[in-house]
Amino acid sequence: MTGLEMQRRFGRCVMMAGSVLAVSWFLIAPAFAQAPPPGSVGKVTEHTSAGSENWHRLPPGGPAPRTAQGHPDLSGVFFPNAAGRQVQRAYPIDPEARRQYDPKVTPEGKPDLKPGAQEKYKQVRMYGECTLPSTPGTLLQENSLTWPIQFVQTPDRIVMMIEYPMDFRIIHTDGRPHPKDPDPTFNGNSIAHWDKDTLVIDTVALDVRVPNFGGWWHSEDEHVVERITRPSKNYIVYQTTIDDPMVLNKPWTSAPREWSLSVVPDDDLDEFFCTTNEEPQEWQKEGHPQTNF
Amino acid sequence: MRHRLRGAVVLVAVFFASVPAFAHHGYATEFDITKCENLKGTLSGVEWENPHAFFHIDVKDADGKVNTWRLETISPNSLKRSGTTREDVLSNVGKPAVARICPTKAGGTPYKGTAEFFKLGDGLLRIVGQNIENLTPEDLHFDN
Repeated sequence: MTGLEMQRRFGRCVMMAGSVLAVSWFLIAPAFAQAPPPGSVGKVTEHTSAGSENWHRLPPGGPAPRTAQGHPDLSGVFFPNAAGRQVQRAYPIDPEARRQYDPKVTPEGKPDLKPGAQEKYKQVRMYGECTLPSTPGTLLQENSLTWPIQFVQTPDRIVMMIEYPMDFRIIHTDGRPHPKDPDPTFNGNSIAHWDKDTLVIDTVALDVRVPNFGGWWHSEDEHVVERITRPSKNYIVYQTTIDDPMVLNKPWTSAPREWSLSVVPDDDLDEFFCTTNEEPQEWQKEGHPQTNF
Repeated sequence: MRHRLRGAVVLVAVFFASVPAFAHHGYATEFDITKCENLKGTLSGVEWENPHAFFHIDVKDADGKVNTWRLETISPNSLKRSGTTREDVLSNVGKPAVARICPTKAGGTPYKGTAEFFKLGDGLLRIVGQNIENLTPEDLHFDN
């Protein structure tokens, strides 16, 4: 079965993490390299329903709220940009509002991969109707996926909900250690502590069947540390380090990436199911029965 | 396959900011982006569903026959956040509408496509797709 056939058969709503799609994108849009960056074209004189041509970086917005324990309260809906809104690819918008970091100031390097390790640790690429989640891949991907996250912070847990793929992570902050032999999951087992005003999340037991952001495979020994701060009301800064001695020559650290508080007061996430609603009859032709419970 | 994948990893690094936000088979296998066009007609309905909404537009063809096009858009979550609510659409049913669409490939479902931009009866330009053609609003010439 060729790659395209597999994608068609199983991939009605598959969002490949960029690899196969990026290849076909490159092939079908040869003029793309010469076109201006998507959505950032300067002279937009026509008003669009979104009004994104008038969106700019949110101001800091004052101090971050704090919990009764004195820590920054991360609770809220945050978008993977500086605009406080969902910024779809197609929107004309100030590039400083669209991005999470300035690559000229804090470039994000590539992982230093051990020769031969990718061959050893590669997996059959899994499919799903939505992009498969992973830590930290989902969060690193969201700037291009565009979807928000929502934190609900309580004294002993922080719940991170992710609108696309509709997913959640539970991060224990009660001081417990990782379990002795945790089952691997796509999001991993996460515990965290506060280092002054920085939440430091430690994650292990990450399922090897989902590659990292950028498409590189990891081992069972992968260890992810994420650092989250809320320097002001409107911003969260997220930075992650991936360590995997089987696959990396040295740990890889992301750029510090800003997420911005939704401009909608007291916002919540919306529901997003990746059903196959495009073409049910086509889907059935390919041998996938519709199930009605 | 592996060779292709390796090359694609490099492309991901370059193009990550431009990969469609929620993309799937459509642009590569179902729709023909070389045949994108403007459709003018009457908005006749909407399916307000995840992961894609579908706008219906009745369009008269060259022979005077009216066909209902079913046009796939981004999710209602994203439509709402960009100033297009279900009420906005419903309140424009029965009024003229114009859309920039990319139809299915030859052999695919007729009168179906993806919609990139839409102007409903209220005249507001709505971005409802991924702008696969990389157009600016000024490129659209909806009033021609």
